[in-house]
Amino acid sequence: MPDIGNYTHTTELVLGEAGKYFALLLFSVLAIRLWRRWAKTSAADKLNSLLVAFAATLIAVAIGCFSMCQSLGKLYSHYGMEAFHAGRLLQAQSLFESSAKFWNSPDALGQKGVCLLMSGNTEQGLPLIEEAKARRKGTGTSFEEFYEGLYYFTRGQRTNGVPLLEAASADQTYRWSVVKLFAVMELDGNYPDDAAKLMKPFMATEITESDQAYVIASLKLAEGKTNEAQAILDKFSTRELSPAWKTRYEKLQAQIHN
Amino acid sequence: MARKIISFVLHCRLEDVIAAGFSATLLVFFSTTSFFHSFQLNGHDIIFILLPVGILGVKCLLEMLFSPEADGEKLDTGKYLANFFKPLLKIFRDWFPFLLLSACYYALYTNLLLRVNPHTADGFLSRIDAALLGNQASILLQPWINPWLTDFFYLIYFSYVFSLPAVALYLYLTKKEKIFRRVMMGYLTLMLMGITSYLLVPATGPEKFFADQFTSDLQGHTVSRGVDYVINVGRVGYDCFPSLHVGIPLLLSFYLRDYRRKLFVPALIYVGLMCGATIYLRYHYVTDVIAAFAYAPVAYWLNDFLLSRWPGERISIASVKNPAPKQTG
Repeated sequence: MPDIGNYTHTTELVLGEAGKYFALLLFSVLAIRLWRRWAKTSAADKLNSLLVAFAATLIAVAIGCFSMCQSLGKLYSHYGMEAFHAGRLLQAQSLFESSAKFWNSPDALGQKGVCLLMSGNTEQGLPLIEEAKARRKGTGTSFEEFYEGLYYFTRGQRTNGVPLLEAASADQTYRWSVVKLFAVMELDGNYPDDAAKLMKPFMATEITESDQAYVIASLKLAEGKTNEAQAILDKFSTRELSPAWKTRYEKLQAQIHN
Repeated sequence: MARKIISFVLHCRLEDVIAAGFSATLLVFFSTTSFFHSFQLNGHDIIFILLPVGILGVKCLLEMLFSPEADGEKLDTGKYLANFFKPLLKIFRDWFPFLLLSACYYALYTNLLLRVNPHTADGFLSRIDAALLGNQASILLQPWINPWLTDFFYLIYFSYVFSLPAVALYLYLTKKEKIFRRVMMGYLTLMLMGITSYLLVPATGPEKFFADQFTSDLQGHTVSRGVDYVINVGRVGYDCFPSLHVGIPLLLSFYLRDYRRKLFVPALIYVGLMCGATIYLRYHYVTDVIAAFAYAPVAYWLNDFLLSRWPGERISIASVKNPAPKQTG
């Protein structure tokens, strides 16, 4: 089921696209009619009619170019996001580049920046995200804020990461992920009580993700329930985890066995 | 000066005056209070009424594209351009008041309703239902819950958003402009009566108020889940008493009785199904549905009364109720 944000976004997208192409149709019809009129006008009015027909054609062409480029930019960006969420970073990067070629919007720049950042190309990724923010007068999208925050989190730079993750958590899409990351930060700082407070509303939720399993298992261990903690960890194989999570899992396993 | 302004206002169309007055009041209210910052206007608020406007606009442009030039070369450019845009501006001008009020209606509730009256009336409405039926109708209907019936009722309930735009579009396309204005003004009158009622008697409906007492889910398929989602997103909260889902189709059926008598009985069947849907799907109390049967005739009469007495672009109700037969031969 799509979320409310998506629905609102889709409605606005439909209205925006319909408005653009209606304007294109309007000026195209006007231009065609003006050219037809020009063919029939007397020699005295020919120049005037020609200029008006030419102006209407120019406006129609300008609206057409703008509409097509913006729509293609949005289309490539959409497919880029799909590829990104499926973990196909190279493909996503290429799609974001195509999107920026058609419509060089701050969103396309930011998306490409995040893609580069997640691929490990920090030197190119971070400046692109900054440029996107600068073009939006300092505002980032929740997508950029979350992944930039995640990048700083994995680097252990809490001071940089926390404000970004907090901002991203305003978007429902990232709220759950941010709660888990904050709980991990509390656990890393040896504050299991604070982590438990954060996770309290989600303790009964089915464990489906490795980061969720790590947090819940750590909390169970803090309560002294070692068997339950071990059972949760056993559901996830450490071979499929990223290095940062692998280290945390191994550390937790060691604590359970001690 | 004041006399000139009053004279100007009285010579405008009634729907223009209502739309302008309502919007100006909202604008003053929002710009002078802190609500301005939380004011949200969603595309959903206007998309269903924009749909017929868009269809009419495209139809008008395609007609212009394929129709032959009628002495266009004899007109000067300014007049030619004015003639080109005139039909489009007319469509916009005829539909704009309804578009504006539709947007205001949703925006008003999203931002305002419970701030005006924070006391919800669910307890009161449910007590009336209990006195009438012994229990809540939606709870009594639980043994009959069936996934296919749920899907069917969801489709009926959702069809409401298309019913009025479809009728209005049909009337506009068939050039029945006075009838179009009468029907749309009737809709506006009922909406404004509904707004007043929602402000005075805000209620969330049985689905939320009795959430802990339902023992069975509605069990619909994907269709039901999708429609339920759209309704929950697009729905104005606390708009229960009366049920405009019943009131507006009932009002439309009155107009169909005047202009398309053959469609009157099918329209009443549709109203009956809508009554079933609103209660079965737990959106309304039985009291809300009964209230709709009182509000719709009042709106029908009040609208005709206002339109026939308004000094601006007046509509003779007798003439639009019984349009003169077309002369033949």
